[in-house]
Amino acid sequence: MNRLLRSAVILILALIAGCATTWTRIDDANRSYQGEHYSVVLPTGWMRLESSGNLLLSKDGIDLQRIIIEYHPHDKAFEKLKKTSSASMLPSELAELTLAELEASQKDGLPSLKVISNSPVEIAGHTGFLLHLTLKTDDGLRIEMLMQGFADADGYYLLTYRAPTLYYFERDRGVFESVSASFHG
Amino acid sequence: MERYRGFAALLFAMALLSGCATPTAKIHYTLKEHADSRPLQQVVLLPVDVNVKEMSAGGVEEEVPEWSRKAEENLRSALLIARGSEGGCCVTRMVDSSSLTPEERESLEEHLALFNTVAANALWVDLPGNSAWHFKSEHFDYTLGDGLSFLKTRYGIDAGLIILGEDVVTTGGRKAMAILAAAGGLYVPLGHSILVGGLVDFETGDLLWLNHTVSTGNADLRDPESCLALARKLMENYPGMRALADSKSSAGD
Amino acid sequence: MPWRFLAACVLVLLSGCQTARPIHPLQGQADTQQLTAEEQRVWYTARELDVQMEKADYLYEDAALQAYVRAVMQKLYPEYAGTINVRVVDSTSLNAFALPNGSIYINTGLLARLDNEAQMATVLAHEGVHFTHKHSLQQRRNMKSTTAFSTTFGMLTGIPMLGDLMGASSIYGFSRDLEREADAEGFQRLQAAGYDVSQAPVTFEFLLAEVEALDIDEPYFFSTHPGLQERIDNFRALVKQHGTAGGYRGEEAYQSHIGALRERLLADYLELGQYQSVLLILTEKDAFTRYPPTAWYYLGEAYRLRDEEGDADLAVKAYQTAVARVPAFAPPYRALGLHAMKTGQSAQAVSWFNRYLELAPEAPDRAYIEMYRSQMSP
Repeated sequence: MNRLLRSAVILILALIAGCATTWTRIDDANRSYQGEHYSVVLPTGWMRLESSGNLLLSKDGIDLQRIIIEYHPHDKAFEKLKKTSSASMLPSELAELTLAELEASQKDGLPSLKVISNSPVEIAGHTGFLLHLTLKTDDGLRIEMLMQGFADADGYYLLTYRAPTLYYFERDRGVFESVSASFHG
Repeated sequence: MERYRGFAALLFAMALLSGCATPTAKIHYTLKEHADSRPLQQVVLLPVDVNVKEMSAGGVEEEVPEWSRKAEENLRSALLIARGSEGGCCVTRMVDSSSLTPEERESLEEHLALFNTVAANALWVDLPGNSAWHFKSEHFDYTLGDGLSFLKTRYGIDAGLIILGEDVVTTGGRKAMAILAAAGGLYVPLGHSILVGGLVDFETGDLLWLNHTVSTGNADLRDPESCLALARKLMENYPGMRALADSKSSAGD
Repeated sequence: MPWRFLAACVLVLLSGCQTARPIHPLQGQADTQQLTAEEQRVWYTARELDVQMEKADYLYEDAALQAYVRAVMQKLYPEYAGTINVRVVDSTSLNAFALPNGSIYINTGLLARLDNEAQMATVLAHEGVHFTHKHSLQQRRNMKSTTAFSTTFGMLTGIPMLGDLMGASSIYGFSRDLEREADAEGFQRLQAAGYDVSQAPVTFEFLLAEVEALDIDEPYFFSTHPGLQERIDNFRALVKQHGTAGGYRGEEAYQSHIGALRERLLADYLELGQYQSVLLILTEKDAFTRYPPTAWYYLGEAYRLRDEEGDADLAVKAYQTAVARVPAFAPPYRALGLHAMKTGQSAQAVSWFNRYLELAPEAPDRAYIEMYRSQMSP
C-alpha cells in the first residue's frame, strides 16, 4: 500500500466512522441513487460505499480509480481552512478554496501538485468549476484528478475523480463525466 | 527500496486476518478459461526489489542494505531457470536496463510503481470485510495498460516477472522481550517474510499471474535454502512452467 | 505491571548496553569514505529519501538559487565539497533539516522569510554540524534499545518519511545537548567564513515572532517555542562571548537571489489559504523594501481571503496601490473587477476585466473572467 492508498484508507475510515456500511456492487437495479441532498446515476459494474450521504465509487480498487461525491453544508465546506461556502460565491472562489483545502489535507502540502486547468463548468444547472490536477506519489507514479464543484442554497457539492495517469485516468474518465452529467443537487 | 512499506503492512495484516491460510495465486481470467491462450516465449526477470530490515528491541525497523542485496541475490538465483523442454514459459534472463533509452527506463520505472499500486489493490479486494469485491479475484482482469508494449515490439520480450519482498529480522533482544512478554500475557510482534510476485504481459499490460506469500515463522531471505523454499511457495501456479521443485537452477542465455 | 514484563525491560536495557565504538565527529572528507556498518545503514536510508525527494517532485527547480545556496554552504564547509549537498525544497513551511549522509534540505518558505545571507548561513551552519558531528547516529544509539514502543524510525534516525518532512529533526528533535553543539560549532563556522554573527540570534528572534504571531499548532523546524527560545539564548550567549566585530551580512546579494522567490511564496501562501502568513509578512515595518510593489496585490488578496469586517475596503485599497505602482501587472485588475462585480458595479467590473485580459491574454482563468464579463454586459 503506497502512501496515497494509506491516505485513502484514512479518508474512507473517516467517511464511514460510526456507520456500519459495506461495499455494494452497482447493477441496473440500484444504479439510480437518490440521497437527501442529491441524486445521481451510478456506473453499473462498479462498487460503491456510502457514508453520511457521501459516495465512494471504484471499479478496480480505490487507488486505481475512484470517484467521490460529497455534500457539505456551507458551514462545514472547508474544515481544514476553517472557511465556509455560500450560494453567492463565485465558481472561481470555490475552486480556489477547494484547491487550498486539498493541499491543507496533507502534512507536507502537496509539493508536486500542479493545476493543468481551472475553468467554469455547468453542473446540475449550476455554474461551478472544473479543476484538472496532476501530482506524483512518492515512488514517482503520476496521478491525475478532476474536481468539479458548485454551491447552491443547500450547501457545497464536490465530485472528484482520481486515477493514475498511466492507462487508468483516460480509460475511466468517461465514466466520471457520465456520473457528473447525471448529477442533480 | 522502500517503495511499498505500506504494501507490506497490508499483506501482513491479511496474513493475520486470514489465520495464515495459504493465499491463492491469481490467474488472469483468459488463462483460466484457456490455459494455453497466451503463449510466452521470452520472459525477463525485472530487477528484484527486496528490503531486509532489522527490528530492534524497541520495535523499530531499519533496512540493512547488505542483507537486502544478499536476499535479492538469493531470489534471483532461485528464480532464474532454464527454458523448459515443452517450450513453456519460464524466466529466461534478467532485464538489461542499460540497453534501454532514458525515456524507456523512466517509463519502466513508472510502470513498476503502477504495478505496486495495482498489486496492492488486487490483493486488497481479498481482505475480510471486502467480500463484495471478491468477484475481482474470480474474474481477475488487472492490468498495467499497454505502456510497456515497446519491450515487446523493440526487444521481443513477451512478459516480465516482478518480484518484491520484505524480510524483517528480529534482534536477539527483541526475541527475548517477546518471550518474557508472552509469559506476562502480552504480545510483542516479531519479524516476518513477505514475497509478492507478478507476471505482466508486456503487449497488453495484463497481469497474468499474481501471488504473495507471508511467513511469520522462521523464513530468512538471507539464507539461500530458506529463500528457495519461500520462492517455491510463491511460484506455485505460475503459468506455463514446471514446478520449481522439479527444476535445477541454471542461468538462462 | 507484571514482574515478568519488568524483567523483560531490564533484560532489553541490559542488552542495549553493548560496548559500541565511540562516535567521533568527521575530521574531513576522507572520513566519509570509512564508514562503519552502522553508519552505512543510516547513509543508505538517507540516500533513499534523497531519491524519493527527486522522484516525487519535492525540489524547487531554480538552478541559480540552488547554486547560490550551495555556494554559501561551500563557504561554511569547504572541506566537504561534494559530500554536503544542499537542496531547496518547494514548501512554504519554515523548515530545514540535515540527513546523515550530508544531504541538507532547506525550504523555500524559510529562505523567503530570512533577511540576508548571514541569516541563511546561520541555518546552514547549524544543519551542517548535525552532519559533521553525526548527530543522527548519536540519537540512534541513544534510542535504539528503548522499550518505548512508540519510537518510530524517524525518531530513531532523524530521517523523516516522505509525506511527513515536518518530522525531520524538529518534532522529535535532536537532544538539547546536540542542538547546543550544533549552535556552538555552527557559530564557529559562521565566524570562520566571515559572516556577521550578530545575525545568528536575529534569525531565530525573527522566526519566533512569526511562530507566535501565526499561533502555529504543528511543531516544525525551529517552531517549538522552547526550541526557538533556546536557539536565541544560545546565540546571544555566543555573541557575547565571542564578539561581533564586523562580518558580512550580504543583504543585497540575498535580495538579488531571493527577491523573485519571495513574490512566488506570497502566491503559494494564498494558494494554500495561508493568508495569515501573507498579512504577517506584508504588514511588517519596511516590508515593501524587501518585497516588490506587486506585493500590494497579494496583500489585497490576503485581506479578501480573511474576509473580516473592513477587509473588503482594505483589499480594494491594496489592489489600487498595486495598479498605481505597477500598471502593467494584470492580477489586481482582475481582483478589482471581481470586487466591483460582487458589489453591483457592473460597468466598472467590465472595464477592469477588459484591462486584465488585455494585459494577460493567456491568463489561465480567462474562461472565468469572460463568463463573468458576459454575465454583466447588457
